[in-house]
Amino acid sequence: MQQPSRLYKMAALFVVASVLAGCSGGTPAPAAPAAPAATEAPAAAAPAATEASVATEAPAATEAAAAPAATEAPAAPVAAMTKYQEAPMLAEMVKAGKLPPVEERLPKMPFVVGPGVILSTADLPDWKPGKYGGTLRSAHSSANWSPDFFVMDNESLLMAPGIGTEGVQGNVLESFDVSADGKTITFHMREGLKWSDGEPVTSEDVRFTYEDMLKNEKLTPVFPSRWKSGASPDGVEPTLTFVDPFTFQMSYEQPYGGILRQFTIESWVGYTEWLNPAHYLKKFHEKYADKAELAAALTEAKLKEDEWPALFNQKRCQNWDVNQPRCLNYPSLYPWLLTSADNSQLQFERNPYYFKVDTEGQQLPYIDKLVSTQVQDVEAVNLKVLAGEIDFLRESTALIKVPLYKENEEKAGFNVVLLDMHVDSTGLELNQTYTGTAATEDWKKYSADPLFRKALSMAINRPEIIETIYFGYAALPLKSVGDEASAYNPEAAAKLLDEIGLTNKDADGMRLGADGKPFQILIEHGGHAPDIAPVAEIVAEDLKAVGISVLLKKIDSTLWGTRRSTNDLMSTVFWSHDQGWMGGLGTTDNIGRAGMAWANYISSQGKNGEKPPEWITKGADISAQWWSAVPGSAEWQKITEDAFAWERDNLPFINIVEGVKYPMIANKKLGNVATGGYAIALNFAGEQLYWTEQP
Amino acid sequence: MSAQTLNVPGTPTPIPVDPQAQDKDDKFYYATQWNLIWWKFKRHKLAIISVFFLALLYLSAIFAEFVTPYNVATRFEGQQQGPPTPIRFIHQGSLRGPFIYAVKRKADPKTFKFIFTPDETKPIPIQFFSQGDPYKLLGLFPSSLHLFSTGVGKTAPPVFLFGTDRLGRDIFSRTIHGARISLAIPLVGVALSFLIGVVLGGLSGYFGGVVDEIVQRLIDFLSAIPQLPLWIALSAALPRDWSTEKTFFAITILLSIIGWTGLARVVRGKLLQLREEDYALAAQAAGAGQWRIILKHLLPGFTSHLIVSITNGIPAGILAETSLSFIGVGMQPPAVSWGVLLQDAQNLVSVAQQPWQLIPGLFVIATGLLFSFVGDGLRDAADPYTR
Amino acid sequence: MLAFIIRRVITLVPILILISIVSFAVIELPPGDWVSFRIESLRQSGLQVGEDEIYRLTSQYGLDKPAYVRYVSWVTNMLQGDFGYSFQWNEPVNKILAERVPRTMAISLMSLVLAWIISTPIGIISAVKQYSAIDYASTFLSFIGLATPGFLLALILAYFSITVIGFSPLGLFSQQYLDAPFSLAKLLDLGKHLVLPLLIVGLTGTGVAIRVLRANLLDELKKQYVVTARAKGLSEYQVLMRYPVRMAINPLISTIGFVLPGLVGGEVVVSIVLSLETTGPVLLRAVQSQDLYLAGGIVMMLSTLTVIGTLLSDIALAALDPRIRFGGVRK
Repeated sequence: MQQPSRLYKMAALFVVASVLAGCSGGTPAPAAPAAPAATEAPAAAAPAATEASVATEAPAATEAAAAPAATEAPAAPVAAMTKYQEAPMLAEMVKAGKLPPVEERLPKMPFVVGPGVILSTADLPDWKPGKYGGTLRSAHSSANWSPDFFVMDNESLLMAPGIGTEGVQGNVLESFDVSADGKTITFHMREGLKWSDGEPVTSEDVRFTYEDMLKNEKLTPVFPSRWKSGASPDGVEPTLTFVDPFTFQMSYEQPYGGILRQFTIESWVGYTEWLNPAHYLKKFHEKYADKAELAAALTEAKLKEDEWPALFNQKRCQNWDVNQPRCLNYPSLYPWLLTSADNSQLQFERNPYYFKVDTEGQQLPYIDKLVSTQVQDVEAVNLKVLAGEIDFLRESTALIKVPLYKENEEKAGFNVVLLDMHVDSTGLELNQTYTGTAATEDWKKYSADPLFRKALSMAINRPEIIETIYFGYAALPLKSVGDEASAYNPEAAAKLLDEIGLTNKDADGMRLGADGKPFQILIEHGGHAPDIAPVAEIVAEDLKAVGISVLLKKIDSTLWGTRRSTNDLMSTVFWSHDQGWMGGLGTTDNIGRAGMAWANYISSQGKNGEKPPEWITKGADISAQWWSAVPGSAEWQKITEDAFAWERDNLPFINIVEGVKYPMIANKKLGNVATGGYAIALNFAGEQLYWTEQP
Repeated sequence: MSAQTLNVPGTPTPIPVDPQAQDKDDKFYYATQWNLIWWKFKRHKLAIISVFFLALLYLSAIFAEFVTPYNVATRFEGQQQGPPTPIRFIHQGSLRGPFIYAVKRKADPKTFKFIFTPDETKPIPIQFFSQGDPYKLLGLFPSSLHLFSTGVGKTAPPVFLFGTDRLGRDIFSRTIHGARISLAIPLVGVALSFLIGVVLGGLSGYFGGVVDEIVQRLIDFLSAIPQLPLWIALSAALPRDWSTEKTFFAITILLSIIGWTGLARVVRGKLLQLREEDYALAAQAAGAGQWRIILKHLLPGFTSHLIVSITNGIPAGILAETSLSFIGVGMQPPAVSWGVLLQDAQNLVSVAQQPWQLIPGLFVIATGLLFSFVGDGLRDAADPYTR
Repeated sequence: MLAFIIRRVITLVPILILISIVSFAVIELPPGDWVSFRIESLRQSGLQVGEDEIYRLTSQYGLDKPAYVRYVSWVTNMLQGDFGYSFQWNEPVNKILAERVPRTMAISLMSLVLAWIISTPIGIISAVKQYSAIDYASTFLSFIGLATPGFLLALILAYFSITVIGFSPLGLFSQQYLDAPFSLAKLLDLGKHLVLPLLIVGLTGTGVAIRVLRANLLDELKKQYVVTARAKGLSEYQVLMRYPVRMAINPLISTIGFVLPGLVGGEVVVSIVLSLETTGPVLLRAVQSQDLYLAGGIVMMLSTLTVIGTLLSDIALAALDPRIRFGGVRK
């Protein structure tokens, strides 16, 4: 009785976010299923059978009715959706007999896009069903890598409106139920969902991914820690049960509420983490492949007999490989499929088997084609913006260019929208475990002193940085740094430095270490974003003003990455994830910002790195708890607060600002363009963009 | 006039007979080649003017702290991305010494541009030889004397001859300071590769045989090594605690050690030609030593070519510094060089809305022009055949 | 002459082997490899990359093998005409080169020819009419060409082209022609896109050529054989073209060896600003991202061309000037 129960769930839960908050009442159970609206039901929803978990959780919904998506979502039509419409270009192919009719290409219950579904109604107040046709143009500056289209052409297993933490619901998977103890999640797949080559998507694809890829030591020697409970390296692996062709269960020994978030969007993991086209990949897997065929394929790839994993990995396409020419014709589930990577252009065309429809029954996406042109650098991308040759751009814009965009908006026919950035700006990291050539006893002593870090934080002129670098579109980091430490107060900073022992100064006013030489911080950054270099310069000057000598260097970004991961950076300036974003708070990522060797110790379960001190272990514990809780639940909120308090008390790194805005370029004639929320969320909502009139 | 007639038999220039000129010509007969070059160079007006300006530029760079009103890192809050401050002479209809008006910055909510409005009620005189930011002259003598300023401390409304950059720093001060690195590095680089190139090219061309073979194959090898990857590899390999300036300097030196090959080939080619000339054979017959023949007899024959190479080399070096910064492997902030300043200016915002950010580019072009004019003058002066 | 050429060709082999080793080492020298670059860039985009992914990528790209094994297989494949696989493009190096090299050569050849066509007469005139108005004008022009940072000029001109004329000069073709089959309209479009790069690259090249030609011709013109020729009553044109001009372009020829790889490598900075699909920016990015075989392939190609170019210019010089032919032997 799967079907009716799912229908009921979807019909009952108009109030999207609510359930998440609702299940907080003492039960650590992860989110109950949350569907956008009843529109997903192909037939008038008959609230037939009920499932215990849903039934008990649904009433709690009212509790969190404040969530914008919940209250503002208009009642969706409950009418039956038996007839679908398709793009004219596909209709022609159907006529010509090259494609099966749209009803056969769509799953029994497609994902229905309507107001507040992909983006909350607060961020996109006037969602409208779109029109078919047109091409969306963008540009990229890396080899065969269009970051904008990667995000736009990415599908995750579950989703939440505006890629927030609340209102998790099915996406590629149809729905899920969480057992009462929160340890087992049953996932329901969309019956009739098809790969872009027309083959059905079933639980066999998941089984193959789990048993033959993740559990195959030649393909995956280390089981990814994000799939262990608590997203922690010492967490336990799940066990999977495959109930029927469209149902599978994941069980953990401990509750792992964050798994839903992981399935949703965390780290942009797409469905390819758990779902791969088994029918295609089996041809390159030792266990399934025809011996002779595999041998031939290996010879062709100039590989030896025992190197089939290399061949397999060359044939497999991950979500971020969507731009790559080797993935032409690879079976996938994205709204658009790569059709050509020649002549410095990446071209995508609609996937006839895409599983989303709008409230009118029109199969998505609206736009026929995506074309991204390769240019050689970011300025050239912006030149193309001014020339009106770009319809959509997020990745290569910059706040400093907003006046320039404004000046050319009318002539080039685009709008510039200021949206939220999902990463915080730049923070100052002091690697307390640094033991490289520039390390001294003093470095060890002072960098480990929270008062020292507080002094540095107070020495930074944040108001100036907000004004100069972010043009006022940023705020003081009150959550992660706190009132006192984020207030610009060089006198207090100098006094603190005096108090902790950095009292002696040389003729230039630089504070001396125990060895009589100026105490110096070597800050190396990779200039990854336009704000990093200028922020680093201001920070370096501000530190000099309180007597801390700084050697600031910009190094090659590859070199920077290598040095950072090998604990070979003394200090750097880099961004961290936004505080509302799950990747940040207390994770090993943030522990690495305080001491890379500690992070290495934790992620290698003690094999590498350095044993972390107690306050770090406490942070790691908070992180594990945080990941165990259901995102959005009251318990989760409380742990989030604990995590912020931990950050403020310890200053693992010195965040500079919070809440940075980010400009987005969108053609004036594009419909369903968000006016608020995360800029990157609008990227993810590419399938509902449409041309209000053909350009 | 034509003193060289003695050195070069068969020259078409008639020997002057004017008795009044005779006295002066005597000097020419005994003059060294360098004297001759200098005398001829003096007549090249454009070159002399260029030397003057180059000297001015180098002196300004050396005494940058005195010449400029502010330190490179001094940031002026509320003055970011500001245009050059107009220097005025007329206040409310009456003429007075140079002064400026204080400027207030405001963001236009519609265009997002900054608007700078001068406060025309209060003229602020520019003071010469006044006190300002403290510094150490030549890194030795503490001083706070500046050529000009509008007063001490951050409270005095600042004067920005070339406007300000993104962080509110004075572009004029930064340009003059940046000249230090930009003018010094090509000099060192060119000098080094010139020295090696002439010596090895000379050896190869004059001695021929095995020496030639070895040097030529060395040239083949070195000139085929790609410089760009080498540059990136070296900047990763040099000591971490070296500042950007030091690293860049070291790489320049390392690369000039392999960058001499082009010149060496030309020198060799020239020597192979010239050593067969009559005068070289004559010198050989007269029993002159080989070095004497190379230096005294053959070298003057292609001095002009060498001078063109050098004077082309220096602007090319300045350009290379800017290009390397542009592609991100050269000098980087917080170092201050013209390359770094241009890297800051190399964006659409500067081109479209803040053209003053491009002023360091004018310095690059002007310096290139000046070096070329000097080189031109030197070439003509060193040419043993001109009058 | 034949013996000279044969001897030189044979010495090429050890030099090329040495160069291949040095190039490979230089590209491998910076710490980290393509996988660390890739993982770093994925992490910076917010993707979570675990140990499993590092292992997968390392094996996918064959970077788990020791350096000498990769070197040997790289060289042996290269000898069979297979330059290997580019990590960042995920395409065979051969395909990338086949796309880029002809375009690069077309652009560089055109700008070189343009530079020479402009500079040869100007250089000759300004040497013959030294200190005339033409001389001063050409001097000034060539100096400006020598001193202007090409990337700045390119950006400024591109910006004004877009905002004033409304023509976007980026790339080699407008978007609608990128995939179109060859046609007259496409050729015209290419022509329009080539104006700026040729102007900028040509300006620099012209400056250098004018200076060198003028200086050398001035040297030659003062020599006695010229006087003799004049005395014999040869016309000024004959006097000039018979020998001095030939001698004056001698140093230009001896640098042809360095022009050849430049033709294939192309201008890096101007190509970057104007988004020309030449080899220069590809090499830069390949080196920066440690795309081993792509960087190695381009470097080897350029190095080989340098060595061959040097050889060619030696042969040309020897043919032009017999003294150089016998240069190896001191009488």
